[in-house]
Amino acid sequence: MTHQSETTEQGRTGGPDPDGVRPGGALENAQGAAPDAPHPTPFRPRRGRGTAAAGLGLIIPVILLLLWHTLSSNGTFTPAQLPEPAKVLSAGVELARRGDLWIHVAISTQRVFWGFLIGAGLGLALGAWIGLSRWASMLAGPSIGALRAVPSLAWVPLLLLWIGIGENSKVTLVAIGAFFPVYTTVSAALQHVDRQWIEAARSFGINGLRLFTTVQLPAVLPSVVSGLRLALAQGWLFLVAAELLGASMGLGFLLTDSQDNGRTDRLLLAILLLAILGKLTDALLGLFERWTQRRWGAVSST
Amino acid sequence: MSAAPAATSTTAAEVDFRGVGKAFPAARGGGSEPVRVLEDVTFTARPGEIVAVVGPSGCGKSTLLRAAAGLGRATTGGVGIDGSPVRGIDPRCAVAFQEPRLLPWRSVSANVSLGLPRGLPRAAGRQRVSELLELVGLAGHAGHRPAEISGGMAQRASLARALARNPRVLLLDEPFGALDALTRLRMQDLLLDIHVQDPTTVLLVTHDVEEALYLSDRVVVLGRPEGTGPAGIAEILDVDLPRPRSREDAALARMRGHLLGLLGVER
Ligand SMILES: Nc1ncnc2c1ncn2[C@@H]1O[C@H](COP(=O)(O)OP(=O)(O)O)[C@@H](O)[C@H]1O
Ligand SMILES: [Mg+2]
Repeated sequence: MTHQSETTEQGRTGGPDPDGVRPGGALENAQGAAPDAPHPTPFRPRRGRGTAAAGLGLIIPVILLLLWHTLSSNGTFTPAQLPEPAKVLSAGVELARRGDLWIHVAISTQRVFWGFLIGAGLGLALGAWIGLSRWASMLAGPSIGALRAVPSLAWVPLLLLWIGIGENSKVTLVAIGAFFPVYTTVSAALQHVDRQWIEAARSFGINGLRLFTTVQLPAVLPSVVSGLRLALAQGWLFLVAAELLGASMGLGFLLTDSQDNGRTDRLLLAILLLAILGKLTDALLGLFERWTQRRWGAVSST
Repeated sequence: MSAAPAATSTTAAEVDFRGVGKAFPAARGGGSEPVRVLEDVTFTARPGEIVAVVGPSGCGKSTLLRAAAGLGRATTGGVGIDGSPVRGIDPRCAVAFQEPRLLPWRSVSANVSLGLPRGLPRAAGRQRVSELLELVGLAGHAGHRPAEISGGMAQRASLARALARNPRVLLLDEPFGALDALTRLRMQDLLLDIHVQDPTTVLLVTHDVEEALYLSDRVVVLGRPEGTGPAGIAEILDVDLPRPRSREDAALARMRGHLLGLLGVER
């Protein structure tokens, strides 16, 4: 077992960055690379640091869980106010056994998925249009700004009237929630891309689509990613709003239904599931962010 | 010095400034009169010449260079390169700006490759980039990002990016202005090396009179005749000395005194 390969552990995906410097190359330095070679900053996060961070992030949830257990079992709260964690767990097991749990989770996730896809897609497209064209910005910027000023839940009665109470109105509401964060961050970031970079690229004959992919897109990617993450959070928020207002399935429905039937355990279960789903989907976007950083280098737009 | 880069079989071009004038629209909120910056600038840079443009800050040196690059249009007159007028961004020119303007998410070599002419085969492009990095002494830093190299290295990368274009006219806007004194002297010698290997026409904007005299065949002095109003050519000084020159040359010292006098600095 002397030949345990260490290089496979580096997690190098075959990215288009042959010059990339591997983090943690102490061994290589010892083997006689130029001793005064400047120290490159590692652009990829160290794997070890990632696990440590995850471990650290678990401390507070565990403390909260312990606190919850104590407060619910020592009589500070009645079971109707705050059931024990174990009760919530068994409520979850019971719902899962009946198959209801998966339906609620699946339908909510599906609504967020489509709503996010549509809203974020439109936000990207419109944000890019407004951010790249001064003419478009003067034409449509004020109108979109005015629409944004309407608190998005104010659309609900109109949506119900026009689209009815089915899936489409819920997906539309999620899309509205996801649209604005993406639209705002993308258009603003594009408008603030350093003019000097653009001019330099143009002076080398780089124009149009090539200018966009060479300068503007990589410059705004960090903002785009944070816009997408905001949009996703907003999407879940709007999902719950939509399901509270009228649904027969989904986690928002589980919330109202549990409230009506005095099932605080299920109510807490729904909240926990929303937290977990929100975190999981956000982590997916985190992976996407990591990918963009690997591809473009970790650089903010100014 | 290593062998001259293979792909530099360009011919230097003549750059002809014909009565170049430039006025900017009045500033927002200010008066309605356009701000006249340059007026009637006429001179010709011969093929392969190094011409320095000096003048007080804000007199329009960058504006003049941008007119040659096609980055900003002259209001009156115009610039011709080898007899054909500059209209829009000109593929015969390459600019190295006062700031390096490297894209921070790209490696040094990827930044330099931005200057390559369109349609160059990939392999030839890669070859050219590594030659240029060798030339400017950045071969060992090809994979680094701009944030990981020093200011002088970034300026060299910016110079290499401009050279990658195989320009017939190299436009340098105070390229060494932000560097420390020692690095600046090294960069000046580097520029001379490059010019020996690949004698394109060079227009060098600088505020450093000594730099102008050390490097150039001629020095164009811009100034405002009445102290206010648009700037024009105050003098064109021929520096008739072979290169490389000694920085302590007595003739250069005399010209330096003369130029500083023109620029209003008492000796
Ligand atoms: N885009 C612009 N709009 C308005 N005024 C400008 C613009 N660019 C330059 N100027 C003005 O023109 C003058 C000359 O500028 P510049 O050519 O940059 O000077 P220099 O390079 O000699 O320092 C300055 O007074 C500057 O304020
Ligand atoms: Mg200037």
